[in-house]
Amino acid sequence: MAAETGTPTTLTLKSNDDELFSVAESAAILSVTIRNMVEDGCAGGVIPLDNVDGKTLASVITYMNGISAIPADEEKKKSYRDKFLSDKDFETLADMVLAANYLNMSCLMDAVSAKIAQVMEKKSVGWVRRKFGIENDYTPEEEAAVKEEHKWTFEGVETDDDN
Amino acid sequence: MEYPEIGDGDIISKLPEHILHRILYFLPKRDAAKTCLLSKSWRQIWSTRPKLAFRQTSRDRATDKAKHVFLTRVDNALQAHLDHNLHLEKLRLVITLLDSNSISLLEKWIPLLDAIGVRELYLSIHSERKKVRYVRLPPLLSLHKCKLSDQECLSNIPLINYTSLEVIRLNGVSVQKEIFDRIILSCPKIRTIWLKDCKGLKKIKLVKENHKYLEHFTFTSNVLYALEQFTIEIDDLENLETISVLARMTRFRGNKYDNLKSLSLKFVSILFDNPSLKFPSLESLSLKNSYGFARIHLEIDAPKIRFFYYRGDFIPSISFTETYGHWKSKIYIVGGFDDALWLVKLSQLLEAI
Repeated sequence: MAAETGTPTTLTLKSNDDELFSVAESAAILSVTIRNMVEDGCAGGVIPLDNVDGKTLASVITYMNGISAIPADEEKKKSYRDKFLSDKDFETLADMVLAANYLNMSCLMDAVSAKIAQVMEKKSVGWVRRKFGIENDYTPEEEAAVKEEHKWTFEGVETDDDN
Repeated sequence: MEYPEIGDGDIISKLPEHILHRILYFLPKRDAAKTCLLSKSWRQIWSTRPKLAFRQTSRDRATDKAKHVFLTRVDNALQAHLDHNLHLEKLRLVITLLDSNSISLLEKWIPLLDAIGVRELYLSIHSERKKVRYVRLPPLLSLHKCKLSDQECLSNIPLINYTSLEVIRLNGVSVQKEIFDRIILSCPKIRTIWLKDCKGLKKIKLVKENHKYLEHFTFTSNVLYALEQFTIEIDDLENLETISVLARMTRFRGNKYDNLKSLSLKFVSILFDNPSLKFPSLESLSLKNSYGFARIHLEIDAPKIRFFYYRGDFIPSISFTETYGHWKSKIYIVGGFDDALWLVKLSQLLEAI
């Protein structure tokens, strides 16, 4: 263990397009998937991450290093996350949320999900369809029926903000 | 953030359902619900996101049929989560208890919450008739945050053994003393205790053994209940950051509150076990119309203090040991000048700050 030798342990991660990355164990274990491998003693050589490509993995490692360098201060961590995600396009965000899911990193998964939600918030159905390239496969009659079925949710000033 | 128009590359709809649930979790209900209109594959997704919110509006209780429709809607949604083994993280329910039917449904729902893993519960109970309605809440082991409010102070909330509970907010809730003691003693992880206009309480003791992680303590009450015999006792808890008390007798048992950043007491009868107090992290100290320390000299060691507010009808005898940085004080003395030594006392106070 790192504590015994006094030098930080480094892990080697391999993306599904065969890129290799070194990352400090202390940062990498933000991923529960990696942490379990380390604890099971499977982290001796190279850790293959079959569901993450090199470009996304590089980005996730930047995040791991950045967030683990911040001491326990939720506000600072939050502002780091906001800044980290601020310049990412949707395609990158989608790759990252899938990677965070595979790596079991709930803090990154929540941050990216919230970021995507932010884009959809207070937007019309048509706008969201166009933005995300979603094809409307309802017939006008079907769409009207679904709308009618959910009428109660669209009316009034219902909020679920609980603060 | 610029989003390129994506033609046929519909990435979002191909994300796994639990990720879409996560995204919809962060949307307000209306926006989440609207996603059912995006396309056929989106039709059902929102309804099983890990957050549910229901508010019984006046229209939802106007007729027997409307009441029934509302209750059925809540019942179906909870039952669907249970039947399909779906995780529900947050539940917000604003409900008016009108009859035994709605009470028995509520009592049926609450135990389900544990089975579906609810971590945050916001329950607001309104009672239209001035009749006492008791709602029994069994222990919920999964609960992390709990906010209960009741406009009419009518429900009797026996919460026990909430071992995961971190935040409890009770507003206008009537609690039996024994039950409240059990809540206070059986939540080892509690970080926030927030109580407003609660009835039935006699004493709150915050002690090291049980409230190691407590960070925020707030107690407010409307003046009507201020006459009730009631005391609060606060040990020198190491993680405590804020204390705010209105109109209750408060006893400070410790003399060193390591993490306390803000102390605010209003209409409080204060009892200090030790008049020499150490607040190494304190930034704001506010004493408004409080009493109990007119005849003692308080020695306050708060090197990080930024703001001191005093308002009262006597001139307190307070000295501050060395502080660094600039800090502001506001002092309002209302009356109290019949004391022959008032000028001396005032000049001592002004010198101290």
